Amino acid sequence: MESKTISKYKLMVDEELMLHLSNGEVSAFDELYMRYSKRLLGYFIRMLNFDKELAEDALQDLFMKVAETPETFDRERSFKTWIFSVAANRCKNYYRHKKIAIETHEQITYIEDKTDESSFIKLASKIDGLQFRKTLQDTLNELPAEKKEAFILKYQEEKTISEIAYIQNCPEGSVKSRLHYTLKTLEDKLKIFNPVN
Amino acid sequence: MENNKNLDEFLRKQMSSDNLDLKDPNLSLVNEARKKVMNRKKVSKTNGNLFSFLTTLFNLEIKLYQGGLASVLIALGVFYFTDKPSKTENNYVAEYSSNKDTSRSYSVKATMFLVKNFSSQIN
Repeated sequence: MESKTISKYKLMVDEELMLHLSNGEVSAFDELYMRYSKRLLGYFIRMLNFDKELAEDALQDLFMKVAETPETFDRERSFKTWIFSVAANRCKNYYRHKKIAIETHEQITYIEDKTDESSFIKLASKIDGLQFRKTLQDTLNELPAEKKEAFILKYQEEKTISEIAYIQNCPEGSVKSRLHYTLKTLEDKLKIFNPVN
Repeated sequence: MENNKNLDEFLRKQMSSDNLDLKDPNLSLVNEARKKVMNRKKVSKTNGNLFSFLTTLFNLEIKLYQGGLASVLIALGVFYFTDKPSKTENNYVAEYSSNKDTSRSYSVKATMFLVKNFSSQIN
C-alpha cells in the first residue's frame, strides 16, 4: 500500500504535487523535497560562499515557506522557476541580515564588446580543472550577489535567460549584461595563468 | 555561434553540482515543515465540507460565454413558468363554456324534465 502511494506521487508533475501538498498530503511534500533538495542545496552552497551550515538553514527555511504558504505558488507558472525565485529571495535576506561578504575587490569596467569565447576556452584549458574551478569560485565570491546569482542560475541550474529574468525580477537585458560582466571578470582572472596573452 | 555553445558547455561542466560532491539532504532537516503540511490536512478536515465547497465555488473560473448561456437558460425558464398560469386560465374558460354548452344540450334538458316529474310524483 505504502509503495503504491509513493509511486503515485512519483508520477505526478511538480505543479500537481503542489496541489496535493496544499491539501495536506505529506507524501507530495516529500516527493518535491526528493526532487529539488540536492539542487537547491548546491545553489545555496555556491550563493552563500560555501558555508554548508548556512546553506542547510536556507534550505530548511525555503521548505518551511513551501509548507506554510503553498498558496503563494501561481499554478500557471512553472514550479521549477518559482522555487528558485523563492530561493533567490532567501539569499537576498541572508545577504541583508547576515552580512555575507560581497565586496568587490577590484572594479572591472563593463565593456560592450563580446567576450572572445575561443580565447576564453584557450585560457581555461591552460590550467587544470580543479584550479579553474577554484578561480571560478573565488571570482564568483567577489561579485555582487545579483551577478553571481545570474551566473549560477545559467551554468549550474541551466536556466534560460527569460527564466533568470523572472527569478531575478529584472529585464532580460540586465541578465545578459550581468552574465557578460562575470565572464569578462573571469577572463581577466584567467590571464594570470597565461600572462603572454 | 559554435564557440558560444562550446563556452556554455564548458562552463556548465565546471559549474555542475556533481563537482560539489553533495549527498542527498536528509529528510529530517525538514521535519518541522512536514508537520506543518500534516497540520494543513487536520484543519481542512475539521472545517468540514461546507468550507471546501465554498472554496471550490469561489475558485471557479466562469467564462463570459458560460455566464451568457446560463442567463439565457434562466430567462427561458422564467418565461416558460410565467406563461403557464395564463394557459391554465384559458383552460378554465374553455372548461366553463363546455359545461355551459352541455347544460343547454337537449339530452340534459330532457333528463332534467324527467327528474322534475319524478320529484313531483313523490311529493
